Amino acid sequence: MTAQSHADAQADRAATPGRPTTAAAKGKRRRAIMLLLLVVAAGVAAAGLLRAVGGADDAGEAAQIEQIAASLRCPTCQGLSVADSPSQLADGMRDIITEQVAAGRSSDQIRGWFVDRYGPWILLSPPTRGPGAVAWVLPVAAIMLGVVVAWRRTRRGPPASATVRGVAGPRRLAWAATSAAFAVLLAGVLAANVAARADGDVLTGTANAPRGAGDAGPPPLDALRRATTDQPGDPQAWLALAVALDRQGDLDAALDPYQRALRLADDDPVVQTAAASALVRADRPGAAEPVLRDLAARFPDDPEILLLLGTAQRALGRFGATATLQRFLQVAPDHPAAGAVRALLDDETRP
Amino acid sequence: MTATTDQVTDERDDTAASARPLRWLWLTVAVAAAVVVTVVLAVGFGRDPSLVASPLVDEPAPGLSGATLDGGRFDLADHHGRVVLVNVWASWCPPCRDEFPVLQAAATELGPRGLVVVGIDTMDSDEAAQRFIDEFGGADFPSVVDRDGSKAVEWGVFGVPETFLVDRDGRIVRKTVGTLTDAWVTEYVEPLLAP
Repeated sequence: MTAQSHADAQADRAATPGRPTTAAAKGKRRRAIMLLLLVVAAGVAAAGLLRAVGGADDAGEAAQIEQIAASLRCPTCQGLSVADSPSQLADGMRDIITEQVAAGRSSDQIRGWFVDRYGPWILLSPPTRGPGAVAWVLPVAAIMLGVVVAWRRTRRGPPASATVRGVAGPRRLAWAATSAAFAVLLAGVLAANVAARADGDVLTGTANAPRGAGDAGPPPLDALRRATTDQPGDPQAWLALAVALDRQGDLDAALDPYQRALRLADDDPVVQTAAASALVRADRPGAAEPVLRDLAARFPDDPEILLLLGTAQRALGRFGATATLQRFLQVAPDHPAAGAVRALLDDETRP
Repeated sequence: MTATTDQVTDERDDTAASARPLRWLWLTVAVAAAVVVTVVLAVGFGRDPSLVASPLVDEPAPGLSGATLDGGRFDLADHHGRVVLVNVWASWCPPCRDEFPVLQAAATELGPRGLVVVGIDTMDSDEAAQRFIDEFGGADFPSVVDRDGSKAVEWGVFGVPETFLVDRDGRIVRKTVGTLTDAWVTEYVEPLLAP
């Protein structure tokens, strides 16, 4: 490739005066295509904006309720509207919307009622005033800028555009480099933030609120189940599954893993206490009592064990129940359950 | 041929010279925009999206009345002029179990100094709630029943547990999300009470 042929190629592209008709026709066609693209893009943008602003009239109460629910954020789930959320709190919100619609309040009044309680956060669309307006203005500004740029490009004659293309090499490279650097920076920020949080926290966002606040999401039961099938001989795996089920309120389902953990580690006080507590709560004091007696023998001054044992013994009508509960009161007179135990014993000793 | 080459080169130089200041302007704008977006995202991703300030703080408390778990009735309006601690809980919520003793202690120890403690048992079943209370040997304060969660929504609740402190004028002066602690009660509730 010599300098000569290179210059030739450029001269060709620059549409030399030797072929004016072709260049003009080419330019015309390109301008027509650009114009068509512009019209289509502007139409899509306008339609999108109109739909986002959503000025549609309410067709009936049901549609109005649906529309309001769809515009409100569910407080306990991430990124779902009240209309889409299966959570109980969203159910409550739908009830309130229904009531207020029936009372004849307008959609904006109802949305305002929720904003008074949850702040503008509750609205899925950002507010049109204040800092939130940026989200509305920016796309419009970007579309208008795009239109201007595209318009100016189509109006430029073929020679000029050829020249620009000739210069564009290093410029395009600079743009590409800037965009790439920006993308890498963004990815870095994202990765750093995701890595800084524990598993699951990204989705449930519970930095200060303790786990389990709200129905942010069930514990990873599947993972815990998998752990028990992978290592069926590990009492800790069974215990973890049992505790997770128990915390979900599914005591019946938790009993089996509790008992498996107990069989695998019948001298581990943590496993023993957890399993015995579950058995007592599940009204199976008979199964809990021997475990608790073993524990009480090893830890005679532990109030939780004494309380559980006393409760189990009482349920079974054992003679030692009162003595165990009295011992519990002696060990932990300020225990949260002490008041109730005292009342119970007072009742019994009264003639 | 040589002449054509020169011509093109000249033309190119001219255009480049006139476009240069504009190009710098564009580049500056682009870089500035990139920096702004990066800062916004860096701050935004670092924030906890679940923590939203409640607009109810420093506002009059919403109404709260209805049947209680122990079969009675409660109406917040009846307690105007007293400091009220409103706790939203449910039996299925583990942190609620952790904080229940704190609420019991607040009711028994600070009750004589004018504190009213009331629960909103939300999105719960009566049986489960009763079992929960029985675990603690009974509750020392009433809890308004809120099966469908609509009372919780009236109080702008995001999840359980949440606790609101209502002053003698009936205004919410503070709200806390998550397990209530003795330290919080000491710091915010006690100063509002009679010595």
